[in-house]
Amino acid sequence: MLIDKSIKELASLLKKKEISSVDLVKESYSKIEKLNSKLHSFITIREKNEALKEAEEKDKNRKENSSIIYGLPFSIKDAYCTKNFRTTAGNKILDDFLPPYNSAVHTKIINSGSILIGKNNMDAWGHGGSTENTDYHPACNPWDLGRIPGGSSGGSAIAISTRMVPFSIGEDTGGSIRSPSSMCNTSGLKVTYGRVSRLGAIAYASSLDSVGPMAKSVEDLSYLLEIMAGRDVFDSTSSKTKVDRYSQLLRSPIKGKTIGLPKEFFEKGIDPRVKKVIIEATKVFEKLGVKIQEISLPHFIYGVSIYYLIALSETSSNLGRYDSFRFGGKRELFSEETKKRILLGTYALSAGYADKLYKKAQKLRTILIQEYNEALKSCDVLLCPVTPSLPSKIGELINDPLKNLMEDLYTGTISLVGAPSLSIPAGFAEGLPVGMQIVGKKFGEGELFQLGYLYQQETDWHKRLPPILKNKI
Amino acid sequence: MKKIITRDLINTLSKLAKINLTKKQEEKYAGEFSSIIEYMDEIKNLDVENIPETARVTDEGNVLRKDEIKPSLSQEQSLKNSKNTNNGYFLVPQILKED
Repeated sequence: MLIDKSIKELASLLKKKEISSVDLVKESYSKIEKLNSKLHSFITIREKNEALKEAEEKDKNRKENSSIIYGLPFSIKDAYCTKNFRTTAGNKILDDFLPPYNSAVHTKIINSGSILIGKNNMDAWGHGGSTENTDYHPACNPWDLGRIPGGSSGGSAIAISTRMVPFSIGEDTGGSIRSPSSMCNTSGLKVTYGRVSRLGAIAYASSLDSVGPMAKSVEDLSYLLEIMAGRDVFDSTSSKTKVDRYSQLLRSPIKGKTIGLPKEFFEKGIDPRVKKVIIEATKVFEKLGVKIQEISLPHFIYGVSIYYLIALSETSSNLGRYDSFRFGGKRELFSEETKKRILLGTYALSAGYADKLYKKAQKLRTILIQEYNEALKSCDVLLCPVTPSLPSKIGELINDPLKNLMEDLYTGTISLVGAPSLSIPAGFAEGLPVGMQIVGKKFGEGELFQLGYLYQQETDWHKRLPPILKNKI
Repeated sequence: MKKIITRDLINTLSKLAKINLTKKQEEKYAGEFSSIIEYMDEIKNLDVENIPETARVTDEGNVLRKDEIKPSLSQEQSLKNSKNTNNGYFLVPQILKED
């Protein structure tokens, strides 16, 4: 199984011509053909012969200085515009939408020579943490087909977990990269707001949306972010802050660093089995010479309310543009979850309620940012769970709207401050993967990679494969 | 449980957001929204006196550029995803009525 190898190993084998891009693309399709009908990782799969032809060209045109991802197959969440290639955002409104341009991140990845295999399943418009709220069949967790894979970038995490592709591009508004990475035992990065251009990313909530890499390991993520990050004149919120050579920073010493554990995240609402895994992970860091210190973020317990008031207000506005005149179908095609989110957002912004709800939430967001800045004066990074519970059974969250929102307690709150957060495998409970997130200073992705990389040298959780792959593929 | 969000309010919101709902959906949403809004009531008594609203998450400030005409999508590209065009225009429903 070639795709189980790291990006660096694959690049080296390709360079030495021990393997070819054609081999990799063939392996991708053979996995997808066997597994996609069970897992529903992809909404649209590219025509196989077209991808194979591109792989042949890549094999022919490879140069000494080709990018490390040159000739690798990849997939991308269906939230990203791909020129003349169907882009649905998981919703029937865009069932036949052929974007006239590429998203900035897609351009960067294909210009580096990677080969698109397909577009990944997602909760429509990013609305959900389970990849059940999709119009293209709910996706299933490869570790237990009866459970959710997390979301909304669930399709991408499934594709990586089952080694259909070496990497994927996800999108994270309130946890959409971190949650599926945690539930499918993969690694994912929610970048600092502004680190990667959002051009061509179909908007959920514009002040929170972020474009990030998803892969098998922290090392792979570090190579991908180097390619994806940077200023884009077409996204005024993209930052001019210098892009580090993240992959070269991985081996910098972490001894003497301090990890803060926000005590509010370990008190109420957390499944004790999840808590146990996270506490075990902190012990690994202690062994590596990292200091663990309890800190307090008193207002973060209100994070779910604040997050949803802001995110839903923004989504009601963003989705207001879908009038079916210029592109897309009629508004009645919005799925149930999306209709609810638009209406709740409309409520939070409507006359008489906007001051009490939306504006108050924006003030509380300021308090969260202040508390986060204060906390990071006494420690280098924060460590916390990704989701409060293990992957739910499919259907469970749809029938419990409040529990559905609570899933974002640890991730949505972090999104509100615009901080970067790395989600990596931390262990298992009841045979199901449990991830942790390491949250850093703004534009401190390099530091998160260092910690995550060392953790992955000490542990092998991220190398474990789901049972569905055991039947020889 | 007393419903904070009534069916009438859901109906008003659906008109504002141009989302048609069935009576059954209105009833269901009223119940679900009530429990969510009741939960969000937790922020009601938090003190935010003198705290400014967050207006942006980046430190970039205003980002300006010259207002210049640059190559853009062609008319054909712009119209190709529309289901209703005529003579190089988007067709939209009539909004003004003749007397």
